[in-house]
Amino acid sequence: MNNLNEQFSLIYDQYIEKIYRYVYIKVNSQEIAEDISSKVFLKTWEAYQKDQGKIDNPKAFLYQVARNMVVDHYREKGRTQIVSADHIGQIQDHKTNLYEKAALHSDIEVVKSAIQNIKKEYQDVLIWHYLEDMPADQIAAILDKPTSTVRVMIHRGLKALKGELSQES
Amino acid sequence: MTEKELISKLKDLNSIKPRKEWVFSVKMQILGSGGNVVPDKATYKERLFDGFKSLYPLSYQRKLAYSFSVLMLTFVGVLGFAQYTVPGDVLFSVKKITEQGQASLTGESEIKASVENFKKRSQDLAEIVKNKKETNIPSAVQEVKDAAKSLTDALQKDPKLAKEIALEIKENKTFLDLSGEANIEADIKEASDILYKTIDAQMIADLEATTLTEEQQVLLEEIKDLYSQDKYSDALEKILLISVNSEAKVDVGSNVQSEPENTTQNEVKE
Repeated sequence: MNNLNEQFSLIYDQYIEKIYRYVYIKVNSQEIAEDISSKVFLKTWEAYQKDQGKIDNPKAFLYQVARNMVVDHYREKGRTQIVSADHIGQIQDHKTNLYEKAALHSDIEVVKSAIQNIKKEYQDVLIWHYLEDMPADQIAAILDKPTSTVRVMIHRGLKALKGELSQES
Repeated sequence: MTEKELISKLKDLNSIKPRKEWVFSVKMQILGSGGNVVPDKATYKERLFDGFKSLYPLSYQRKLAYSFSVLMLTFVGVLGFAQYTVPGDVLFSVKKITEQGQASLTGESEIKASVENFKKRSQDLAEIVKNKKETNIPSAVQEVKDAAKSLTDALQKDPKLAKEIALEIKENKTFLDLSGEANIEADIKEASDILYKTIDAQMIADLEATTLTEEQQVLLEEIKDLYSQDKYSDALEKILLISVNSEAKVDVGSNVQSEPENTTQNEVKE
């Protein structure tokens, strides 16, 4: 049991930032990102305990769980963000806030907002490939698609993002 | 914007990092208690539910209080019921523990507690014989024998208390009366003989060291004879007879001596 704890502790330390970042970019809310990320790790931990630590690829598993939870989140909320009053200042509408963000010369905010306006499947592959340095074959394993398809998705995703950014600017 | 610039901007998103305290707290929640803790709920709906869940310990505490009350009542009931048990009953050990507890709380000396124990066990035996609880007799006899043994041991540690113990036993007629019961006499004779022998030996030594009247000297010789014939119980009765008589005489003597003093005082007053 302690051994499992130690092993999962290493996995947690290795991936918590990546999973949080992936979820945060997708939901654009710190509160929701924290909620979903914690659930992702809890669910993974439960699976990890159940299989006695025999999850072949924890990284792929975590991203798969995170991806499904984000999908569930949007399905439940109907893309409507519900956040507490404490975080009212952090409410960020994808399109309407772009002008303000551009005014603040925040490239990160602009890119983040732009990525949220492209197709979900492109979001995933761009984040995984360029932010997490995940090769196409690993992404293919997570999405259960051929590697060539993933490469095409990356290419189209970049194109869509570029179009979105040029549209905003 | 070139593709390279776009990728560079994308990589800038790596600066997004979670709060350190959140990272730590989630880890603690998942791994800190074996992973059985549900992580923080973010929405108000879930927090409200958590609020209601936090009331659960109150109902749990109430259940705990009820359980404790029932436990206490049962405990008191068992203690009360145990007071009416005799050796051989299931709850007799509870009665003995209670008695020992009472003795230690009241600060009774070992010898006093032994005497009390001997008296109580004798009374138990008498009650059992009276009520003809034949199944309890072996246990009761054993209890009396044990009590007699511990009293003998206590007496050997402090021989000066022999007279006091002899008087206590004399006042507690139960044991002596029981010695007439044919079916248990043999069982307790050995234990009582040892006890009486110890008391007798000490009392005879005391009497030899004191000034006795001719009548008491004769009685002492009779006691010695009984002692040599192993009739320790009879010897003890005669010893007690001498002791009681001598105390009575001393009392009378002290009254006689005090009278002249009173007279003198009266004369002075006049």
